[in-house]
Amino acid sequence: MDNVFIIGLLQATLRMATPILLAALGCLIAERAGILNIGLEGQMLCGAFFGYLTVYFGGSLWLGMFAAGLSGVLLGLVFAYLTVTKLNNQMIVGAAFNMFALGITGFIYKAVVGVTGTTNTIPQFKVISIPLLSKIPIIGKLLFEQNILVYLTLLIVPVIWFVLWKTSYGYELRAIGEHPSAVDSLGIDVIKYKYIAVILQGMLAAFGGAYLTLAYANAFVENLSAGRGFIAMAVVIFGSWNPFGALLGSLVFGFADAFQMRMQSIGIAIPYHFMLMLPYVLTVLILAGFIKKAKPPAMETVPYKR
Amino acid sequence: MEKNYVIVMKNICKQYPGVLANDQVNFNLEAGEIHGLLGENGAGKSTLMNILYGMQQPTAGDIFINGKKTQIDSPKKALDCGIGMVHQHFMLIKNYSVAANVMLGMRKKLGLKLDEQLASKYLEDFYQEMTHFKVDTKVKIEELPVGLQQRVEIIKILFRGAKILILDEPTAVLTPHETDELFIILKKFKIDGYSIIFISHKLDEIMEITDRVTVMRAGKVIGEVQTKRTNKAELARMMVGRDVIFSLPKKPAKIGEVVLEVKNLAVAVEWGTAIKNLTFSVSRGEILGVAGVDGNGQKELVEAIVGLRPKSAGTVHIMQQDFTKITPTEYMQRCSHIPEDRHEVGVILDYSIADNLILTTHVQEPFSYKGMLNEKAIMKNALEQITDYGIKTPGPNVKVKSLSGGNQQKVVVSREISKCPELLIAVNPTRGIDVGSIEEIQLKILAERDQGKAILLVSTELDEVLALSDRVAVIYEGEFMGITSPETPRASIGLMMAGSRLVEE
Amino acid sequence: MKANKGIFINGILKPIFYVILALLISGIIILLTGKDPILAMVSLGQGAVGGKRQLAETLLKMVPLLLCGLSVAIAYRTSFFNIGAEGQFLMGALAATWFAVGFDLPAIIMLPMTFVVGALAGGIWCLIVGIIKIKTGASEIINTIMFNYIALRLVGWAVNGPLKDGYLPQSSEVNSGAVLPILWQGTRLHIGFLIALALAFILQFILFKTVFGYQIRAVGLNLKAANYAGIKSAKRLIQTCLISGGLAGLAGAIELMGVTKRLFEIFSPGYGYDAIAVSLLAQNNPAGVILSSLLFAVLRGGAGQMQRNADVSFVIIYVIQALIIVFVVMSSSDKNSNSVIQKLIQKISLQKAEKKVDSKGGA
Repeated sequence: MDNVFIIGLLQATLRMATPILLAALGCLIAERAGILNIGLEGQMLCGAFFGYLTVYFGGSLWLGMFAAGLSGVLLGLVFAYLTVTKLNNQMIVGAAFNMFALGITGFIYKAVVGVTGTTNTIPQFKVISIPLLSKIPIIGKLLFEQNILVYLTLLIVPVIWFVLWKTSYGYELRAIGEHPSAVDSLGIDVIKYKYIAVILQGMLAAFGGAYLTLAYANAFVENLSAGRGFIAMAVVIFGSWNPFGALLGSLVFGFADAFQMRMQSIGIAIPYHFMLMLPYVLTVLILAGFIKKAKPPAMETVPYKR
Repeated sequence: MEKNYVIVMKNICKQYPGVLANDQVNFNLEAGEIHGLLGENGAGKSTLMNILYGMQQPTAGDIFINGKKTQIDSPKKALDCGIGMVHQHFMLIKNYSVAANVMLGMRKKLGLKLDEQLASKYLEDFYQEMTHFKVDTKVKIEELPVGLQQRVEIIKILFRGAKILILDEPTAVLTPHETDELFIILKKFKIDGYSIIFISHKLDEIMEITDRVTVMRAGKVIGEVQTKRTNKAELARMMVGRDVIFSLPKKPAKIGEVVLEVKNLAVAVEWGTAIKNLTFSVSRGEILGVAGVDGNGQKELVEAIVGLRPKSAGTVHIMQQDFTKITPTEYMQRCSHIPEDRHEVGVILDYSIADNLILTTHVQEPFSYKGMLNEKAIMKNALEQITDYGIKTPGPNVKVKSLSGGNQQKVVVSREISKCPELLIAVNPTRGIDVGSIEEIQLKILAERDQGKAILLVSTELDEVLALSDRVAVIYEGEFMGITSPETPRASIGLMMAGSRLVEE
Repeated sequence: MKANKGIFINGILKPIFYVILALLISGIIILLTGKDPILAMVSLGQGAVGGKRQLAETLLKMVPLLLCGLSVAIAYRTSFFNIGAEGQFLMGALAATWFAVGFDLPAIIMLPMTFVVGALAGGIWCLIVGIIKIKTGASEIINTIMFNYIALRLVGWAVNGPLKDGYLPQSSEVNSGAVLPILWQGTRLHIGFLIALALAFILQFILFKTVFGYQIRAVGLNLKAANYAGIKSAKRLIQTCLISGGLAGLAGAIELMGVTKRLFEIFSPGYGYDAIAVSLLAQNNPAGVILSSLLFAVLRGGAGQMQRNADVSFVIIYVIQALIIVFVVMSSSDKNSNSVIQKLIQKISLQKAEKKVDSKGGA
């Protein structure tokens, strides 16, 4: 039983880590460009909802992902307009976005899908066992028996790292988070970079949200994301603004989440509500303990004006 | 003979909301000359150069480069036209290497792939054809001294093929020695055919390095002269609009008892020791000036004395009382402090003038009593100070952020001086303000000294320290290189600012 | 005279305009989902102020909104963005329940004691985040949100565990001494309404007429300058956290003592989150919070009837709130950059400049 239990736990860890990781990767790109969007949570929620809605009305799963991504891109675009072009306070706008997402998803869900007695479930991305590789003991089951989104997410981690640290685009983007006017003075369009970063961030967060409905919960409920966007921000800090660090951080949270669920199902005596608290408590501890480890981009949340 | 102008700026106007920053400015630059652009802070020099460099768009006017009318709509365009600018505040990414900073934004030329190794190789290659100077390619900017950071800025624009260099107040952050080195480099550039615009408000430098000077005042060009055919007094008159007193009327000091006594003070900071074993005292009726290049521990010294920063060793006595463990609250109740940065520290921009005038005294009577603010007293105080110090404002309820720099500084100075304490610490009290306000503030400080206050003046403007002080201490890397008379030759003080100790005779 | 006019335009007319704009946009959204926006808005109005009972219920909802709005406003003045009023509200209610169920004393003791217990619990909940911010620099924004989730789980645990009474996941009723007296006979409106109003005026006074208020505003506007001036900023921040959390905690206690009488799992319908918009709309002025909380109470009060009559889910009010926040921040940023008036001035002086150039060019 022990082996099965542990493999199951680790498999679930990766599964639960994926949506957080997606959002965290997006958040990381935006933060490197000097933007902290606490509307991340709302973008996840919208991604989850519009992905769900598309599939609910008969769209394919990939169309659902597309719709989710599109909603994230749009939200990113509006956020960029309000904070990059109009120089508004990123925190307040982000908070408003979260509220907006909560209202609009809940509202449309009730108006369109309605509240009936039955749950309105949808199909999901299936687990794909990769031939041969999945036969490797332990690691096989852990890494090569997951759904396609998990594989794709793990793939983009090194891609983002490569772009940020091995290409001129990455050098320019990171420099914008440190000293935007320096980058501007070299003739690089700072505003364009910021827009692209925020849009990418919105898209990745929305993909993370879509994962929740299309590969995890197969239904939508109000406030489905339940703070995962905020947890993703903590993960970025935990990971020192590095994609591989974010991977590690999201695994820690995935583990906390998976562990909490396992404990419940075995019926261990720790009260259920305390288990549910675990990821949030962990976030607070990480924010409080690790924040001094690495420095955030110097000009984070400071609007850039020539 | 037709002159060979590389840049001609014609009738440039720049309108900001409420301010006409450039009013029909004409400016031209000849090939191979060093052209000084002289003016006070706020005269419109930076606006003009930002327009030339494409950071700002002119409201009206034309720019000709090599005789061709050109619209410079971005820094990229300026760089393409061969114009490079070294900004007063360096445009360098602190945690990148020298090479990465130089290669930043050169995607078109260098391709998509970039990392530290590659950048370093590119720069080494460039050094082959550049003969003037080199900076280690792999060092991070934050590990370089300021003088070398400036060189990186110059390498950056040379790498981009600039033939026209704009230098915005390049000596503001340099020691006298570093300044000399920079001037040698600039002269070499001139011989090699580069054209240079040298922005400054320091007359000596303009006289030393430039061939021609354009003087600006209040957004307008006042005149353009050959440096050889002019002198300091004339330039000053053009810059300020009236005769300028080069020496302040200073009575002999009547020195009294010791007010501030600092013994063996040391201050540790994150990156090491900012202040090492400093001992000095300031007495009634004298000004002790602390000269030095920015960043040599001045900030830490002052913050430690006023209690904003913990001391790692040593003692501080004020009027014979032990104030080693003083808190900012206690300090502010009995002493004055004009802080270094008025925007960030000295005032609250969103508070009214009246509220700012009680920032450090609001806990004292009559401004408050038992926790309640006394609006009448606050208003009366505000009206008095506005008249006494000539603060130009429509009224005491105006927010400080709508005042000019000089008037904001007057708010700080009047608040701190009118507290009437025995001790005044003033840090860069006249930085970045107009000559008129500078004179007024300096005269006020001298008057306070004559009334028997002890004054510690910390300033990076050597001229100011020499003009006001009775004794001059030169600080270098947290230590005093010596305490000397203000009559000491500038050259020896310059040497001390660069780290050589005063030789006792 | 002039100043009053400015306050009237910026403080009253503009916010009303934003609210109308937000309602309009929400109406369009409602229309897009095939529902009737006019019916929705009319039933919203009727549900909120259509009769004595409705009006009293709306004022009843105003109490927690006002107190939580004050909580956000005062914290915001020190640059502490308290998104945690929701959690502090819950903690206040939780602690008040523990006290008011466990102790049975005369009302004269029970009422003030329950207030204090609730306020203290909320205050401490906020204080923890404040201390973490001062000690480690961790953002209060994420932490207060995390503390909201933690508080929600704590309440869930309490009503399923130690405070559980009977089969349902809820506490037993508070003892009669802790029940708030009714203010308006024949309705549920209790004296908590007066307490909240009084606190708004007291806070307004403290903020603008006392040394304490001067100092916390200074801390919020420019921390470095406050430190330089000898203001004990960390202490002020901590005190403000206590007050801010205390107000939200008190709101929780009052909601329990005046309305629900028991604690249950979904105790707050999101008052703490609404409070952010309430405070921002009032530009963080305590007196203004009175008006903005009334507005939001109307939205919440009518939302139920809107849901029943027009089949429009009440969560649409989150959309309205979000839009209001965006409009408010947009207008304050425009004030700094390019207001209509400034653009006009710019245009005029620009023309002057051009004319000058022309005349010179001609000569």
